[in-house]
Amino acid sequence: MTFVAVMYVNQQALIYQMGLKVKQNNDVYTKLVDHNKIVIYNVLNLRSPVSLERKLLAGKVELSMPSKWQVVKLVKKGPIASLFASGRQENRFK
Amino acid sequence: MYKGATPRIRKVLYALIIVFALLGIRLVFVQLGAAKPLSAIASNQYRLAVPLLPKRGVIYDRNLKELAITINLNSVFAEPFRIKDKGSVSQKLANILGISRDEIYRKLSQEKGFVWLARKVSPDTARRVLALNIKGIDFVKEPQRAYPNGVIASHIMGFTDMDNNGIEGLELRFDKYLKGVTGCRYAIRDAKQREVPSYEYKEIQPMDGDNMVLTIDSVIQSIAERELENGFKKYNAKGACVIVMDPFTGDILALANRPSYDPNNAKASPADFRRNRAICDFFEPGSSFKIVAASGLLEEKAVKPGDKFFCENGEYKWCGHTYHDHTPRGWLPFKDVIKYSSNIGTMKAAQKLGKDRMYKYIKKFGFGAKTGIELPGEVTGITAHPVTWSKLSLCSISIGQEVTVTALQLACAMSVFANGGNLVKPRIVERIQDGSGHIMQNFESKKPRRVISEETAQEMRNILRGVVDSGTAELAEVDGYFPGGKTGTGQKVEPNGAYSHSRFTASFIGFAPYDNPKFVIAVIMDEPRPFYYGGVVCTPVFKRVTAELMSYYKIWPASLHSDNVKVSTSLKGKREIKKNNR
Repeated sequence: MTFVAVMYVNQQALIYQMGLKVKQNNDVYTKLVDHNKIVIYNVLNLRSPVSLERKLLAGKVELSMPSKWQVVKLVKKGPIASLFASGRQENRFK
Repeated sequence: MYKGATPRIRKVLYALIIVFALLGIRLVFVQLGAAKPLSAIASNQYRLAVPLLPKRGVIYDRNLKELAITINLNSVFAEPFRIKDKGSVSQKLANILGISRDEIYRKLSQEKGFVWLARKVSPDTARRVLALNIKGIDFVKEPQRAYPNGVIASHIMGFTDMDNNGIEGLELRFDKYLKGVTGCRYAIRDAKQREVPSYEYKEIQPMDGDNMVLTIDSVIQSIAERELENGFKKYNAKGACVIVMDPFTGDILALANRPSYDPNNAKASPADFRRNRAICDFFEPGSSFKIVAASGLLEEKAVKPGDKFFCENGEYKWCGHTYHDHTPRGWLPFKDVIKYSSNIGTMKAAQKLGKDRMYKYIKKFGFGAKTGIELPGEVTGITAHPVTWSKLSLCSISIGQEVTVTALQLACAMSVFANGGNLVKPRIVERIQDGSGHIMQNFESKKPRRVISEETAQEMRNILRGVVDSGTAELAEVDGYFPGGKTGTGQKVEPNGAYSHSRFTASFIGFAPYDNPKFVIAVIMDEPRPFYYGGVVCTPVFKRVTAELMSYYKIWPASLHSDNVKVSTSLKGKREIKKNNR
C-alpha cells in the first residue's frame, strides 16, 4: 500500500515536472514567434515604398522612363542558334 | 459508560460526545446542505480561466503585400504593495518610459494590487525595464496592430483601439471578420495565483481572424500619396484627395487623402485628419459636372458635337441672374463648349435636354446615391428632385451648382466614358480568406449598368481628350498617352448662403491612355491658394500620377510602340494612326 502511494506521488511529481518543462518550452517558442513577428514588421517597414523612396531621395537617385535608345530586348533563341548567338542583344525598336 | 469512572471523567466524556455530535451535525450540514455554494467558492479559489486571444487578421494589398499585421508587445504593470522605494523606482522608470516621475509615483502610491504603467511599449523599452530587475514591476504580452507602411492607405484601413477593436476604415467595417473569437484555457492555480502547468483540464482554442485582400496596389497608393502631398503643400489646400480606379472592374487601386495621419499613432492626429474625404465629404463640383449634361445631350441626340452655341462673350442674363464665363467667347461648337468649359454654352445646351431628362441622367450616373463601396461613412451627396427645382436650377445644375457629389461618385461617372458606357460599382475589398487561404467571402465585381451607348461614350472620350489636348486641362497632358478628362472649379457657399469668391473646390477627373483606358484618376483640392482652378492645381497631380502608373504597368508611350506607327491627335481630338511610309 505504501509502495503504491509513493509511486502515485512520484508519478504526480513527474507529471508536474513535465508540465513545467512544456510550459517553459512554450514560453520560449512564444517569445521567438513574437520576436519573429517584430522582425517581419521591421522588414516590411524597410521594404515599404515610402521607406524605399526616402532612401532613394536621400541618395539623390532619380529614376525615370528610359529613352528609346536605352530599351533593349533579350531574344530567346533555340538551343542551336543560341550557341552561335550567345551574348547578343537585339534592339527591339531598331 | 463504565462504572469506575469519576464524575470528572464522565463530564469530560459528555463534553466530548457533545462536541463530536455538533461536529457531526456540522459535517452533515456541510456535506449535504451547503455543499454546492462551498464547492463553488473552492472552485473559484483554485480554478483559473486563461483567455486565449485570437490573432487579428492580416490586411493585404492586391499583390498580397501586408498592409496591416498584428505583433505582440509588452505592457508594463506594477504591484504597488511589493515596491519598497517608490521614489527611486519612479525616477528610474520615468527615464525609460518617457512618463513624468510624478505620474509614475502617483500610480505606485495607489492602494491597488495592480496598476498599468505603460501599455504596449517597444521591445527595446521592455528590455531596458527588464534590466532594472525591480520587484513588483512585471510585463504582460498584448497584441498590437501595426501598419508597416505608416501613413500609406491610412484612411482606407483605419485603425484599432487599445483592445484591438476596429475604430475606423476597414478595420471598423470588417471588425467581426478580422478580430476572430477569443478562446479559453481552464487550469488550476496554486496559492500564489500561478498556473499549475500539468493540471489543465479544458481548453477552447481561439479562432483567429480572417485575412482580407484589398484591390489597392501599395505601389500605386504610394505614388498617389506622394503626388497628392506635393500638390496639397504647393497650393496650401485645406484638404485634398485622389482616387485611382480601374474603369472596367471598379477596383480602387489607390485612394488617398490629405491631411493624413499615421495609424500606428492615430491619437496624435486630430479627428479631422482621419476623415476619408473621398467618400465622406460632398461638394459642389462645378464644371466637372458638365459631363453629365453633355453625355445626356449626346445620348438623347439633342445636340451634335458640331452644333454651335453663342457664348454671349462671357456674360449672360437668365431669369434675373447673370452668369459668367472665365474667358469670354462667341460662337463655339458644342465639343468646344465642353473643351473650354463655357458655363453659358453648357446652360444653353442644357435647355434642350430639359429638367426631367437632366435628372434622369444625374441618377443614371449614380449621383445622389451611395456607390456601395465597402468603406464606412459614405455619403450620398444631394440631388434635389425636379419638382423642387427653381427656374434657375436646370442652368445651375448643368454647370455643377445646386448639386453636391463625392470624389468617388465623380470617378465612377468618368469610368462610364472610359469603359464604353457602363456604370461600375467601385470595390476596395477583393476577398476575405481564412489563415489557410480558403475564401470565406468573395466581393466580385457586380455587373455594370449601362448608362449611355458605346457611341456616345466614344464621342465623350473625344471631347474629353480635347479638354486636355487644347482646352482647360493642358497641364494634364502626358506625352505619348493622350489622357482625357474634365476640370472643375466649384465655388463654396458662404455662411450667408451666397457663393464665395475666395473659397473654391478644384477638381480634375480624367482617364488614360485615350485609346484603351486603364485608369480613371480623380483629383480634388479643397480651398487651394493662391491658385484655385482645377486646370491649374489638380492637373499636375493627375499628370505625374499617370506618368508613373504607365511606367509601373510597362505601358509604353505611343512613340515607342513601333517606328512605323505615328500617333497623333487631330483638332477634333480623335486619335489617328497613320502609317509612316518613310
